[in-house]
Amino acid sequence: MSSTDTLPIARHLVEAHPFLGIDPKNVNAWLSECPERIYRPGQQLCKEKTYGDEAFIIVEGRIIVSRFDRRGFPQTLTTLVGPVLLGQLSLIDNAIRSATLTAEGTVKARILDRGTWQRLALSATAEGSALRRLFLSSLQQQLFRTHSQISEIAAGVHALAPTPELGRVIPVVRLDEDDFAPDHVTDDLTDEQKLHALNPYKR
Amino acid sequence: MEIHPARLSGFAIFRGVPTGDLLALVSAGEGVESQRGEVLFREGARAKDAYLVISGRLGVYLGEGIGERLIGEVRKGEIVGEAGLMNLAARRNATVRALTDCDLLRLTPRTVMDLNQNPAMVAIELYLLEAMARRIRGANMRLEEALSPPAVAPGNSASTPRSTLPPGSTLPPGSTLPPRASLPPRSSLPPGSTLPPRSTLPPGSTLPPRTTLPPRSTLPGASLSSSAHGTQPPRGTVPPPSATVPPGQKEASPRSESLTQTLLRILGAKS
Repeated sequence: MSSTDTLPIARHLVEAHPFLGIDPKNVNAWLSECPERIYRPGQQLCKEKTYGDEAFIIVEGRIIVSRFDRRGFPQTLTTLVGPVLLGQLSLIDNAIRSATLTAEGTVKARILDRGTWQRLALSATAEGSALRRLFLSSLQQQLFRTHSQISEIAAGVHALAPTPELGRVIPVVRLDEDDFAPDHVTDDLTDEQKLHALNPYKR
Repeated sequence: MEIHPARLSGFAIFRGVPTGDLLALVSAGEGVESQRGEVLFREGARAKDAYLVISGRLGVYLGEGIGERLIGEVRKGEIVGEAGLMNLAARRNATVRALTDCDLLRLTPRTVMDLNQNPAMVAIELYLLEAMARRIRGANMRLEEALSPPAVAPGNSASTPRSTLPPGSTLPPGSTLPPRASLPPRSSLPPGSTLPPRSTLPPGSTLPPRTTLPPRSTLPGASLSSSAHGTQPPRGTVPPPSATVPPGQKEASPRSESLTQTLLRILGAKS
């Protein structure tokens, strides 16, 4: 595939991970060299708690991001649509994957391997700068997403609670004042009606 | 404030970077003095710059007011607020305040653009990549903790700690109730767990207006006594999972009562 074919993807990537001054042509300079890979629906791109030597530039398709909680139940954290950069954390710190990436449908991706990453990351060139800044922007977004999820869970808004049986994610319902009184005892009733409503067997 | 490049050359982040490139960096940036307690930026504010700490310490906080909590420190040779270098639309995801008097080098998007291929900027970008990777790993651990509620008792699918309390437990004196938001949805409560037997209402009683009663969750010393309610606690009185039953503390305080008991006490007092 020629570099002109990947230029639109580079432009989309720069839009998805904005960083002032990134020229899509400098992204395209290395993106066009990355091999393409197709993932089938349900196929895993990478698995949590394994080491990885690749980052994924999702060109088309949806990716499910999930991780296991401490009890071993899988939790879907988010679903991302390409073009998006994923899996770069393991290239940066050589640590294990923090999440599992699964193709929801058919997914087309470009693969950035560790060798290419190391060569570009240390270079004081326009291409190296574009790669570092694209990574920085995507990590910043990832950090912001994670902080938002933690804050929401702490606040009880959009809280996620796993069901032990299936590991599905379900919302926790917040209670309000009226949840503490029986539904049929409303404020428009007289005192006698309220008493009857509470205790229909006593007259 | 002018910053000499020699003050930067000892930082690990700039190891191997020529002094000439560091000079270009301090020339493109802006020296800033910050006094202890001063807020550099607040969570949610528009991000338009970042700071390299030359001396002193900064604190990173999440939340506001009494909910604000320190989540990390930024020390000499470290950078904070990098979102302000990336995207003019970015917002601060934390508040940063000086823990001590600090000397800082303020960096802006213009600094980054001007030093596009300067080795000092390459060093800063690599540092930021590693620092952000660490922060994401830390945030992932906190997310994992948040996603993993305490274990539930067998046979109870509710995800709240309610079921971990032994039947008939009472709260120790001085215990506080958890915030209402942490209570389970109403539909998950066992039927009949909220009110005592209805026959305990005296004949001919009338109810006072509901507004005269305090909200249940504000009743101090609310108990999980099994006396008149069976073994299930009344609604809205779910204790923290660590609540224990001190010996000889089986309640009888007038403050440890259900909504209906409160009603009866008020009615009795009136009659």
